[in-house]
Amino acid sequence: MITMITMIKHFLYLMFVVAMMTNAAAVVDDAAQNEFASPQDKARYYELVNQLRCLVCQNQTIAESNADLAQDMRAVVRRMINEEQSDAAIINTMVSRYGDFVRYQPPFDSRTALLWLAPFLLVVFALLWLPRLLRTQKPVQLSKDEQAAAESLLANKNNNE
Amino acid sequence: MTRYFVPVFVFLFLVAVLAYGLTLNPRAIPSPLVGKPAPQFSLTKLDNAAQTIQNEDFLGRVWVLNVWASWCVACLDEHANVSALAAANVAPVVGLNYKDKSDEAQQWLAKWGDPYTLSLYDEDGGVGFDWGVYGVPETFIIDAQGIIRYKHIGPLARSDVTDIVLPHIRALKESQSDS
Repeated sequence: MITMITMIKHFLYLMFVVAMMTNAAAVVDDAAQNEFASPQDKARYYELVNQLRCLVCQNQTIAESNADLAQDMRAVVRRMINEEQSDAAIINTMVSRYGDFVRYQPPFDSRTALLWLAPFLLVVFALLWLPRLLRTQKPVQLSKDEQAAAESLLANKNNNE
Repeated sequence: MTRYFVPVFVFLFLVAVLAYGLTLNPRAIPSPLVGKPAPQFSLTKLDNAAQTIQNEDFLGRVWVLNVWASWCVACLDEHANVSALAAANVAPVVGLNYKDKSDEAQQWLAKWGDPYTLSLYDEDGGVGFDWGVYGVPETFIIDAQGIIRYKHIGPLARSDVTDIVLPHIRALKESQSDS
């Protein structure tokens, strides 16, 4: 039987693993990061490159990827920020060339609504189903002998603890 | 018996959906440019830096753009099939030499053969970026009005050429001559 301590240990281990996996937002390509007119521009750059997917290493953002294409895309983001184009214009430039997949987080629209809502729907569904499931379970019927054996085992256990 | 019907049905449904998924290429990204006008470009020829080609130069005929590079191994794989496509003589096959060095690219063509009507020199990949190129090789079919009609990602297999690209080109040429 899992004790509280074991459960806490498991939880902490899980949190450690999740923390290690979380995007550390470290951007490759350090030299060019000083090319911005203001700290706000630099902040915008960091935000945007963490929102765009590298299409070569498709599970990374262009912030993390070393691929040539990611470098090119970062250069485009930099150029457009220095030209004072809006975030929406920059994202749109990428999406019009590569499609919605280039957005690292899928947008919420009619096609992706199910993708976003499915986990919540599943939880709601499970919560609604569970009472029904529990209600239909019949309690176990023990014979008189089995009942006596169970009680004596429980009594022994209480004495031993 | 009937209580098993729902789980078995759900299982079979999942098997069917996942089996279909196995036939798909998870890395292929459909292009949002299909059905849209080809992005504007103006590039020099690979073998003649003095001559500039623009996409308007291709209006009036169906043509194929094949993105390639001398450093690209998969481009070598598909080279025979691209040559076959060019040899079929239904549409000019134009090369887009992507992020390459001019002399290495020309050497590559000299060594393996040049199936292209001409090659455009996209040294910094800016034109490739506009066309949504993310991996080499990629092949586009553009119609006579300059609209991109088809994009093939990855090397062309011979069956891709005979079963998809050539029929597509012929269909576009036919509808062009009808209008």
